[in-house]
Amino acid sequence: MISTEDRKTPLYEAHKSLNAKIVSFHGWLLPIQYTSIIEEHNATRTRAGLFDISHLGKLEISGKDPKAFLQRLFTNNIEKALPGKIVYSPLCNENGGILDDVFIYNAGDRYILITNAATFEKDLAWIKKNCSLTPSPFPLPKGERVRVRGEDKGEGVVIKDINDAFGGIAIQGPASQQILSKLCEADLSRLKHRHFIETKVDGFYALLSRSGYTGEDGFEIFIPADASIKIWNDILEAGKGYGLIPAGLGARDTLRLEAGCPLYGVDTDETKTPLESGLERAVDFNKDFIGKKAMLEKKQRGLKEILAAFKMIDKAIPRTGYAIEKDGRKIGIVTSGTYSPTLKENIGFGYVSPDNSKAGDTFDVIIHGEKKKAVVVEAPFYRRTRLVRG
Amino acid sequence: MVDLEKLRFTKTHEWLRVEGDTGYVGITDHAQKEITDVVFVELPKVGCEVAKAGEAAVVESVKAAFSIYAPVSGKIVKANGAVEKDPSLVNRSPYEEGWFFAIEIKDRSEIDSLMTQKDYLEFIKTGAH
Repeated sequence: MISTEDRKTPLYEAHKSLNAKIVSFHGWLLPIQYTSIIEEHNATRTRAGLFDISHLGKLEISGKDPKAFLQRLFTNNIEKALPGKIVYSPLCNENGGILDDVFIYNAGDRYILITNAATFEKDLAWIKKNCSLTPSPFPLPKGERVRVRGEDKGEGVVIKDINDAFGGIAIQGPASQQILSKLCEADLSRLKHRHFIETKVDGFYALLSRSGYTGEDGFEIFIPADASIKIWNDILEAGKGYGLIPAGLGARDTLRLEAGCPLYGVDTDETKTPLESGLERAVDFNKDFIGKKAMLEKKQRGLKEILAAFKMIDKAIPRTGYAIEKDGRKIGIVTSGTYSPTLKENIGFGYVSPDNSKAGDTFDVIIHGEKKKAVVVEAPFYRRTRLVRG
Repeated sequence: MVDLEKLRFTKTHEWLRVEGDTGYVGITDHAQKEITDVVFVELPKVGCEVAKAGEAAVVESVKAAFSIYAPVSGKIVKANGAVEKDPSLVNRSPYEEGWFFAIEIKDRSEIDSLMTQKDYLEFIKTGAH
């Protein structure tokens, strides 16, 4: 339900004038679709789609030794985030439970953290709590640097909430580079996947990365909030001859599922560790981090459930919350499911017992009261033909 | 072209077209627009009995599943296999090619309890759905 508490992104008026269907998504009013989810999905796969990603959380971490601080906080090795590079990492509590999954940008003198929308406030509180200094007891205006005091581990970290200052736009699909190049002086062909630059787009400051959540080539830009609508409209204009169309959350969800990307809050949450959620590749056990001990213990004990990607053999669409059974016994639950517009098959993610989680294993999903056969497959469901090295 | 004035409507957005003792059932243009991109339709088996307002079929969009309720009671006498093969017919032609099934109407008085087109348009305008 749309409530009066919901926040508008800087692009809200642009969505309204495009006649988008607006929904409430974790406290933000966002377009679920403009014309048709399938049309927007297919445009992104074959040409390009433009997405509002302003709802994503944005934090800036600077200070004397922010790297040491982030190393303690995140499971992945922050050393991998060389200047100009992005590292993906779960953020876990002491039990190894996933608080969020975050993109960490190393901007040289500071790190920029891009979090999920729903988890931003929780992340911020957790990050402040685990800062080697405790936050200042004096009230500070929102957005101002957090002064801290307490035991100093020499990290001297400064945490800045930059959420309201920036809007976010993602352009995704094979034509993205050609379109965005029309508005950007930087040579985008030289920007590699999961790398970023600070440049100008349409004449405005932009944190511009080659990245995304769709399985396609594409870019994500964070731009001044008050310039967001102009930049959005100018990109749409620049993309007219290339088949670029605006795309909503509906297409974002089908695209990310095909690309095998779990969604935080749906496919993973605090009750799961990266081990169960298939995110172990983003955990570096050769360094110390919050949750490491619990995860190692869990590894030793053995896992009870694992996130598996599956395809339906019988014709039916799996949905969040549907039970998964093997020989009439419940072995798991569906977390995400959809009709895949690209593969024209029904696909999903679900937690199942480890002995039913290998590619080729079969089980039943209970759909409208009936057993429907499914088979475990290797994620991603869809892999693009790579035209650009990255 | 179907004459919409001859159709009868439910509060759950099905339409009923009566031809003799048989009633054809589909969903309204308003419903298909709300559901958007229909990607899957599950039809009842020919020969099974359905009760008025009982679940008779399932239509699914990319995002969610929706139940289709029988506007009247009776036996299913036809199922439109074309919408199973091409579910987008429901979006493209909700009143004609996109019909779901036909019922042998048991009790004609049940038809009178359904809305006319005028009532239905008023019903969706007032947002009572």
